[in-house]
Amino acid sequence: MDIDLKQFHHVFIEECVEGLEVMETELLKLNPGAVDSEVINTIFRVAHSIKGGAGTFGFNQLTEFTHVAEALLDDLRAGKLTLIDGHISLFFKTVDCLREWILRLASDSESIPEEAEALKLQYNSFLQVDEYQQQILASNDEITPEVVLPIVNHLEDGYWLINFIPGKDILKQGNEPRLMFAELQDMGELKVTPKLTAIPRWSDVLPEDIYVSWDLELISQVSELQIKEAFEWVEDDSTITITHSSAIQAVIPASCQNIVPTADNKESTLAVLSTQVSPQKITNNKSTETSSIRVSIDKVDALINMVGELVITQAMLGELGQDFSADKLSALKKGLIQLSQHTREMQDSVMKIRMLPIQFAFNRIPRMVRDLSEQLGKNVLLRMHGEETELDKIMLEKLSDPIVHLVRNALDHGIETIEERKLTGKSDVACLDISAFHQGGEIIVEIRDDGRGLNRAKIHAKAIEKGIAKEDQHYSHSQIDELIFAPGFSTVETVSDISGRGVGMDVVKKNIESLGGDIQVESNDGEGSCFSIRLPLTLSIMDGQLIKIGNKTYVLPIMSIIESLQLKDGMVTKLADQTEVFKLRDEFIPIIRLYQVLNHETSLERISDGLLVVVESGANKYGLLVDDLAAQQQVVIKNLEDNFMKVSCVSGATILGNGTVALILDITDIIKRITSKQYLQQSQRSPVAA
Amino acid sequence: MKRILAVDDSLSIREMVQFTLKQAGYHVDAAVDGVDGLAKAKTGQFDLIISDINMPRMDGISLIRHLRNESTYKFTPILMLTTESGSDIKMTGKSAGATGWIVKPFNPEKLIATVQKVLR
Repeated sequence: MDIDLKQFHHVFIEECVEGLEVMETELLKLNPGAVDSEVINTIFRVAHSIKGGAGTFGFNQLTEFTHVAEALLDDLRAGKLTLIDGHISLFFKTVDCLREWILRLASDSESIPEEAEALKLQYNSFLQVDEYQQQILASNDEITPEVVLPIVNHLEDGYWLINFIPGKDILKQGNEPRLMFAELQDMGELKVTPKLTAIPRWSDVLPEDIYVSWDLELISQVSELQIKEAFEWVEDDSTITITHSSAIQAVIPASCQNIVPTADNKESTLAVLSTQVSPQKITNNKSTETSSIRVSIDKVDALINMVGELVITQAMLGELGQDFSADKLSALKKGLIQLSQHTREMQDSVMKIRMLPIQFAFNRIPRMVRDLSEQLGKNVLLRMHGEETELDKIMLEKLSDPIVHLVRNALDHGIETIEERKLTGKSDVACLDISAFHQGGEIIVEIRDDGRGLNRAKIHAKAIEKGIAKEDQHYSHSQIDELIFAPGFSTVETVSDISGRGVGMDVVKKNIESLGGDIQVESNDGEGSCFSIRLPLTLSIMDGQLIKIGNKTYVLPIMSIIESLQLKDGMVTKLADQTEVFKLRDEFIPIIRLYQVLNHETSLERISDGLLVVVESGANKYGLLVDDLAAQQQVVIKNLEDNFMKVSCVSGATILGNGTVALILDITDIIKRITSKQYLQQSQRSPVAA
Repeated sequence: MKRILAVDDSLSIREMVQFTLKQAGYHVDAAVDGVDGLAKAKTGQFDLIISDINMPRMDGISLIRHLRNESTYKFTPILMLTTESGSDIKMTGKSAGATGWIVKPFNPEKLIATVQKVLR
C-alpha cells in the first residue's frame, strides 16, 4: 500500500504551532522554587508529541532536536535534575527555535534554524554526556531498525527447532499463541507439538492462565531474528529456545526432507527486503498554503440546522407558488417572513464562524512581558481580561501587531524602573492591564498601565521641533496626547531595540483605522496611560436604522442607538455656548442637529417636529435630531475609500432595496467634530479648516 | 469488518493511523486521551485497541489497566504506541496488560504489519 505521508503534514504543523503555544503558556507558570509536576508533564507531552510526529512524518532532524529537550524534561519530571532558571530560559529559546523551524517546514523549506545547534549543545551540558550519547544511539537505532537488520542477518536455509514455554499471563495481555504460530507458518512449513505435562490438577487450574508449552519445528529460509520477532512481545515472560541445525536433518520426517524453499517463498522474502531497503520516496509537490480556521462544532451544527429550516421554508414557498391564488396571500406573507428570518439567522451563524476569541491576539503578550521586564529590570504584573471576547478573524490577525506595539511602548516608556517607582511612592510592581469587551456594538481593547503617564511638555516640544504643532497655538491636554499619533512623531532620542523599530504610533493608528476602528489615549501625569482601541464587530454587514434628513436617507448603526424619542417644545435648554441640551432621566444630553452637520435643507421648523435618536459614544450620550425614522434593515457596508475617497462623518455606503445609495453615518466622527468645534468656539479661536 | 480504536492526543498521528488502517480495510474509531478512549471502548466492542502512552487526563498505562478490568476487554489485544526505546516503559506496559507495542516513529506499512500480527 502506498500512503503519502505528506497529506498529514499540515495537520502536524498546525498541531505543533498549537503545542508550542501551550508550551509557552505553561513555561510562564514554571517557577524554580515551587515546581508543579503537572506543568512539567504538560510541557513534556508537547515536546514528546512533536518528537513523535516529526519522526513519523520524516522530519528526522526535528526529532533529534526535540529529543534532547524531551530528555531534559524527562529528567526534570523524574526528579533526576532540579529545575533552575537556566532551564526555563533554554526552554523558552527552544520554543522560539521550534516555532521558526515549523514555519520553515510549513513553507516546505528544509533549512534548519541556525540557533538549533547551539541550543542542542546547551541541552547536552545540562544532561549527563554519556547518558545523552546512549540515548542518541538508541534513538538512531529506533529510526532505522528495519532497514539495517535484515541486511546484516544473512538468511539461513534450514530447520529450526523452537521450544516455547509461554509465560502464564500472556493470555491476559491479549497474546495468543495461535497468532504467533500463524506468523511462523507464513515463513515456511511448521509443525506444532503441544506438551501437556505441566497442566496441574483440575482443581488447581486457573482458566485464564496458560499451562501448555510447545515444540515447534519450522522449515524455512529465515533468520533467527525473524523468528524471534514473532515472539517479540512475550519473550520476556516466556522461555524460548531456538536451535538451528542442518545436522538435525536426520530426524526430519521423510515427508519434509526434500523440502526446498519454493520460488514463491524466495521471491516474497526478496520483495520484503527490497521494500524495506528502497529509500523513502521523496515527493516534491509544493503544498499550497491555505489558511484554515478551527470552528467549534456547535457553530457548525447551528448552521446546518438553519440550512435545514431554510430548505423547509423554500419547499413550502415552492408549493405555494404552484397554483397561487389571491386567497393564499397571507400564507405567502407568512412564508416570506419565515424566509427572511431564516436567512438572517443563517447569516448570523455564518458570521459567527469567522469570529474567534481575542485570546489569539493576546497569547503572545505574557511571554513578551516576561522577557521585556526582565531585560528592562522592571517588575510588571500583567492582567488580562475578557480574552474570550470574539472578533472577526481578519481583524484579529491585523490587531495583533498594534497590540504588541502598544504593550512594548507601555513597558519601555510608560512603566518606570523599580527605583523610580520607589521614589514616587508607588509599589515596586507595576500593573499592566489588557482588557477586551463589548460596548455599544463595538469591541473595545484597552491597554492600561500605571506608569508615569505621557510627558506632555516633552511631546509638545518635540511636536514643535518636528513641525507637527505650532508654537504660538494653545493645545489642550488631550490635543497634546493626540500628537503622538501624528505621522513622523517619535519622542525617544535614541531608538531603543524594545519599542523603537521604526514603527511609530501613526502606523498603529493607521492599521486600526484600516479596520474601521480608531484609537484614543487617556493619560494622567504620574498615574499612567490608557490606550483604547475601538473596533467594529465585523467588517461587512451590520444592522442599520434608516433615517431621513430633509429628502435624503442615511443609515445609523443600530447597535449605537440607545433609544429614539420625540421632544416637546420647552424641554430644550440652551447653554452659554449655544449648545442645546435636554434632560433625559437625570442626564443632560447635548443635541446635534444632523441637517446642520451634513449641510442639508430641512423641513423641520421646530425640534418637536423631528425625532431625537439618542446614541452612545464612549461614555457620553448625544441626541441626534433627524426628520424621521424609516425602516430597520441589514446593510452591506461598501467602503468609500476604495471607490471614492474618505468622507468626513461617513463610515461607508450601502445600497438599499430600491437600488439607491445611502451613506452610513460615523457617529464617533460626527461627535468628535461637534465637540472640537465647540471647544474652539469656547476658546474663541477661529475654526481651523477640517 | 474488524473494529479498531486508536487513542492518541496528537491529531496528526490519529489521522495517520485512522487513514492507514481504514485503507487496510479496518473500521477505525479514534479517541483523544485515556478518558475518552475508555468511554468509547465501553460503548462498543473493539477487536484491537492502539493507544499512545503520554496523554493528558489519563495516560495509556492507566487506560490499559482500566480496560483489562473490563470483562469484555480481558483478552483483547492492546498495542501501545511508544517512542521510548528503553525496556522500562515496555515492561510497565506489559505488566499493565499490554499485548505489545509499536515503536514510534513508524510508517504505514509497519503499522499495518503490526496490526496484522494480532488481527488475522
